[in-house]
Amino acid sequence: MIPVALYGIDTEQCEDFFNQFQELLDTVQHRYEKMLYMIRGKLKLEHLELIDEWSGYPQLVVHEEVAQEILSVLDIISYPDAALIESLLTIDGIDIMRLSLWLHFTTHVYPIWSEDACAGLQKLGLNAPFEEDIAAYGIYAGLIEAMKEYAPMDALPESPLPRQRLLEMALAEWSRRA
Amino acid sequence: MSELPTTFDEWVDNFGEWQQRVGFDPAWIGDFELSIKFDWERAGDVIEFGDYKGRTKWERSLQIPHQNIRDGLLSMITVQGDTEFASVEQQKHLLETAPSDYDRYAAARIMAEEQRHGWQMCYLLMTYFGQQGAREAQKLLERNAQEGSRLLGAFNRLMPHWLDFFCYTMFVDRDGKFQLGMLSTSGFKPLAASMGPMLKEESFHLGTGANGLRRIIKAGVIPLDMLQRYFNKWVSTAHDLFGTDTSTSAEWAYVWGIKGRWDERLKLENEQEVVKEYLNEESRGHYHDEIVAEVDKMNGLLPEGVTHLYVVHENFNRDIGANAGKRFTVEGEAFDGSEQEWEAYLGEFMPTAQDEEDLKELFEQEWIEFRAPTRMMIESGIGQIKA
Repeated sequence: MIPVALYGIDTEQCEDFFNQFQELLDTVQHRYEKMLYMIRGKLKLEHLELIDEWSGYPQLVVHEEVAQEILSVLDIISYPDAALIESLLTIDGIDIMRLSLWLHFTTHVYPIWSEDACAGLQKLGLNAPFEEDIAAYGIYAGLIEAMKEYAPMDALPESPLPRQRLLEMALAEWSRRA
Repeated sequence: MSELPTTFDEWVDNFGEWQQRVGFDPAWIGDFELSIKFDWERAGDVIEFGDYKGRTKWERSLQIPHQNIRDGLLSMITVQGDTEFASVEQQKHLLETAPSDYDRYAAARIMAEEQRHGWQMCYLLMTYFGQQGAREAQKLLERNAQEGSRLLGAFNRLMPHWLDFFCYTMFVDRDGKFQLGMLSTSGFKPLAASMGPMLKEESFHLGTGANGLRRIIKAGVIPLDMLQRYFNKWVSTAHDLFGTDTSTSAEWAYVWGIKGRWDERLKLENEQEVVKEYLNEESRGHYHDEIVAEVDKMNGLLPEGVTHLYVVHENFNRDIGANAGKRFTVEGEAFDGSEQEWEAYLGEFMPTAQDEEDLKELFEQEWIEFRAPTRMMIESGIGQIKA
């Protein structure tokens, strides 16, 4: 059954997408995989710095209290909820992309915000706006989760990477194909 | 045998007693929900192969045209369910010795999912197969791997440590993937519809095995020749799980449309001819090719110049089929030596008592690349790991 979040999906396109899924992926991602397991123990600012370094974001310069607020929000947020992080968007230097990277590497379940992956979802007939709006990221996370659920049993390859990552990468590649 | 359950709810009560009896603490499954899941959409509406091809898939057992087809289904569902509960009995003690909380979570989740798969099979037995089904569902809770009374040999084997566990999830659970895949096109719709969700969960088990072995290779503590011996043990066990050669029951299951080939839909699309006499050999061949490719990927992690890991030939160390009990080398050639030479050969290619002793020491070292659990894993309560 099509998950509610995917109502309106172009089922033929979706079938094509899953048929080609494994070709769409570049499964060798040693640098990414290494980063995935670098966050250990209680969440600390150093963890976020590691993620920033990995993704090329400049160092975050914030007051200690603000840093504590960031850590608290990231600590209590519960997948798939995304609304809670909205309050962090008012902090200088923080955008949805950066937040999604933090969430992704600290939980392994939130997807990384990607314009190309949104375009891939749009190509499947889904409403996935790539906008600097937390609601848009919430929709994106929900759609990726629904795609995970809807994927045929043999579509996703055996891989040490989280399925959210596989879907994000495959959708991005899908959007780039004619 | 305890009193037969008359409803699935009654069976669930007996399941709780089974958990207690085998020492599985229900708290270990955390927020995992033991439930019944179907993917009706992908189960198909029309029988896809065999003598009844083109007819509507059977949705109730009374629609099944012959008693022997019902018996065949009952037997397949029972065997599948038996393996699910057996693996929990084989593995549950490993939670105490997990190399990390990450691994404890993974093992607990696998056991939770195996129990859900057992529920699913028992739901089918209780719902569709009357008193006979209820009897089989109850027996699934009464046979025991530790007592050696499970239906398939591999599921009575002891699994004393985590190296066995990773080999098991990599090689034996992969047989499960193939069996579930072959049932996913069954003409009995509730069985076909059960397979999608089960297969998706099974992929986590395979991933745990494959990643565990990758992490062992990366850590470089377990000698590769020893690792190879454990591969050989579990690969040959898994080869057995595909059943006897020239199996008539596999042939009948195909003729009746209740169990297909691996990738049946693709094969039908490509008009690939079915050789009904060799169905088990065919699926074993697909399995073998897949693990060869997977082990090749692992070899990519080895430093240059070292001997590569490999997959033993299907003839080696077989307990089932045409080569059962016969002596073959790991390359599949007939072994010509004496009894004494054969024993020495096995000592080189199968785990030994010395390996088990050596492993005790090796497990004291950093024998597997460390992985920390994520916050989501901790919050799930699965495995009852702490931050």
